[in-house]
Amino acid sequence: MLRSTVSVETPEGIELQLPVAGIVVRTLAWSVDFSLRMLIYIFLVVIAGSLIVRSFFDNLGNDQQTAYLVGLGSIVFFLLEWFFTAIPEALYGTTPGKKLLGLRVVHTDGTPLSWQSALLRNFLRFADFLPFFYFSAIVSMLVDSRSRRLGYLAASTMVVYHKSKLNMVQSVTGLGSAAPNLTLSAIERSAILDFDERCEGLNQARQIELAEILTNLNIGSGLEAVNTLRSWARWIRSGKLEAVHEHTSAA
Amino acid sequence: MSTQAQLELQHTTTWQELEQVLASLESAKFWRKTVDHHRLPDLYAQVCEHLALAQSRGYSARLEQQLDSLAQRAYRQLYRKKVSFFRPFIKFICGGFPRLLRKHGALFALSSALLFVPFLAALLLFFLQPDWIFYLMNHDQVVQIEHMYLRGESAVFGNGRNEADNFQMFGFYIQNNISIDFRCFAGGVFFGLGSVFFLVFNGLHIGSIAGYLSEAGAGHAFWGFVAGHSAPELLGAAVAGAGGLLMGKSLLMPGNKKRWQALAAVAPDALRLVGGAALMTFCAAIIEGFWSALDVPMLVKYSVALLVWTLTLVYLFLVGGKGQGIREH
Repeated sequence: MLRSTVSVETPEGIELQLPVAGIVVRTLAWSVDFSLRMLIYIFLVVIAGSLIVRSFFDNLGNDQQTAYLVGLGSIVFFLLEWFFTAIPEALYGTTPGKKLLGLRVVHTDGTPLSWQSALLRNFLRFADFLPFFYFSAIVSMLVDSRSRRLGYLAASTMVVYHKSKLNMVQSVTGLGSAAPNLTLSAIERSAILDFDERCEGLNQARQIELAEILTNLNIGSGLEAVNTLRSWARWIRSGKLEAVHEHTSAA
Repeated sequence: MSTQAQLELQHTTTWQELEQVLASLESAKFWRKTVDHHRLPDLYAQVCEHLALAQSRGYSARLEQQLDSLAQRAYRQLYRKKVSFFRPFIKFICGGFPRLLRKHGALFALSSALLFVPFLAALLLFFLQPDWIFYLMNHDQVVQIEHMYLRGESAVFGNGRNEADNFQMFGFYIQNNISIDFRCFAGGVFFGLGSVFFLVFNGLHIGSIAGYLSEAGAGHAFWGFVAGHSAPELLGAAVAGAGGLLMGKSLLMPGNKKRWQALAAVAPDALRLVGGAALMTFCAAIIEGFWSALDVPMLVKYSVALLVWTLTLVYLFLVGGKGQGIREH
């Protein structure tokens, strides 16, 4: 229920971790899109209204212009009601609101959204709305483990956080490295590496607090513990003794 | 056997190259996707290998995330479905759609029955008992309908509309009638119940007005107006309902799949059905907007109506040959 990533196996045999967006952030994205749509309505109504009023005062004699405007307005209203989110989703995989919050829509297998899925998930928004204010959607989202509403289920889609460009960071090398005083498993080794990398963004007190959790490893206390762990990290990263560790853990 | 440091040292340039390729692909506009990136599959394969290494050897989470992010973005570009629009669209109209409808012919028959049986029942009922219209509508609505159709003695509803009025009504019919199609369809996701409701409701609504007006002496004004566009409009609503019922059926009888998987499996067909329904209703809106209100003799009106019904039925039942459903490619 609380797992927030979905792993997708690709034909190349790797597993991608897709971070699924929860109800709150999606509701926020919806609010942005909804507000934007309302602003467009207001904008269009003001323009059409001013045109109608002007032709009324100019006394151009007939309501032709008004009739054309109302007809055009009906079509625009229809398109905005049913296609306002479907079209940007089909073209870009995201809507303005979702983009603002760093979300995008993909198929459940991680592939980009097709036209059909984009249309389907938005047509079913009407069903999700019934009987009042997205009641069906809320029930469906609470029941489903990936909080999908009905439209998502039918179109096999989900909303994920968009992986944006990451800064390529090279590992810090140099400085002293030291062999750990015990054999570490793969998970432990990667935990120490993660600690080393996270240290760049943590203040000293927090570094010490984290390092001192490992009191039973005899790595000292305070800054000494931090430095010991980080020197282990350099040792692990440079691969020294890795073969030996593999060997001992296999034995 | 490479260590994390060696892997990073050797392949950072590869990753940076992939990053550049992805950045240019992601910023490309959909209307001119001509950037040549023949290196993408190769780079992607390499990054997949590096990611698999990083995952299995417990390299740091930072490196893993970095590679995972690259792989995800490349995957998204590589497995993007080819967007071609016009050829499939033309093929859909020229045979794919009627063939698909015949594949789901039983559901189409059911949804037509759900629309036309209440329609005929209401027509008969309110023709015999016009007072009962007040059970369905309030006084103002009845007055409004009478006002619409009972102005002239024999004139068809809407006579004397000018071109601007025609366009206004065309816009209204698109908005109103295609929305009805979409609702008939979307309601089907509640085990078909929503589709049943909207079909029966619309059948009753139209039938009651038709029956009431026929009895009230506005028969020609009403039938002369609606006859021309009735075929694509009513059958279009029935097609949309069939799409909804298809979703409902998959949920009620999912076979050996989970219910939502069964729903997802029929979704492409259901969506194409409602797409076809929207096209039919669009045609109906053109007829309704620009033909139905014209001041021509009743004989012409009814002849055209007969022609439109024949053409619509021939299209739905005969066009596209004997195949089943959509033929891919």
